[in-house]
Amino acid sequence: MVMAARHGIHNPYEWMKRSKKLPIENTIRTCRFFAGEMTQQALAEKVGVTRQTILAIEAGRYSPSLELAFLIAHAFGKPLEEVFHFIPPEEPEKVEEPEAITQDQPHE
Amino acid sequence: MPPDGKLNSVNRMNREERYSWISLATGAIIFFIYLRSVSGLVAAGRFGIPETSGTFLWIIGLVIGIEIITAILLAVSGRILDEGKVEKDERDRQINLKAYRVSHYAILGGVNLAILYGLVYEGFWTGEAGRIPATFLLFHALFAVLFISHLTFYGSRVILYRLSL
Repeated sequence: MVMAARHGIHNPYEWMKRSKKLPIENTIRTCRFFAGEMTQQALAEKVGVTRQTILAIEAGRYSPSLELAFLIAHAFGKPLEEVFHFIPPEEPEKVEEPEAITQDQPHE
Repeated sequence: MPPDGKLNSVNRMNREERYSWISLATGAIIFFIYLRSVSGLVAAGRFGIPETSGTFLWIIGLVIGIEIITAILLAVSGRILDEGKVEKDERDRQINLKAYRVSHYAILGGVNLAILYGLVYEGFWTGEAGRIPATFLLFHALFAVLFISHLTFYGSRVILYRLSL
């Protein structure tokens, strides 16, 4: 709750939703647009899921199974990586270690 | 079929989510009625098998009746909202599995509490826990644990649907 207030979100439910970041992004909305404004229901029926699942995937709140991801990409006639993108987690900055002192180096 | 951008909260839910909400609400009401009737039996000092089985049977009857009414209502609402042919998919199955896991912990917690209570309070087993017989106490404690796990299952499903897993 304190964290939510710090982020300016006073509804805990909304905070829980926002804090759940998935590492996969998608371009389904754009793909539907270029497929002649295909509706979510039409896409759902094409790939055999409910419209709510398409809605959740599109909003980035649900990661589909590999099979479903392939089916969605196939429905648009595109390769998987054009529809779904993996966002790698941010790596911590590497601290450069000082070079080890070897015996060859002259001593003072 | 409403256009994508103009959905209200009811038709944003799929059949399984609506079922979870209804089951949670009706389950909570039945549990409340059950607790009231059991506390009535305790207050009246009626711990016999006819009273206990009578309460148990009408609760079971109520649950079955509500299940039938819910199924009919969901089928009708599905037709009105024109949801398509798919009623359940991989997301529903994943949510189900997660909710089962949570309700499993509820059962574990309840049973362990009963065991702990039995260990701490000897009268629980010998039938001297106040004036309530042990069989009556044990029967209703286990029934309540099952009921609470049922509520936990549908509560978890509702939360997982709202968070979308």
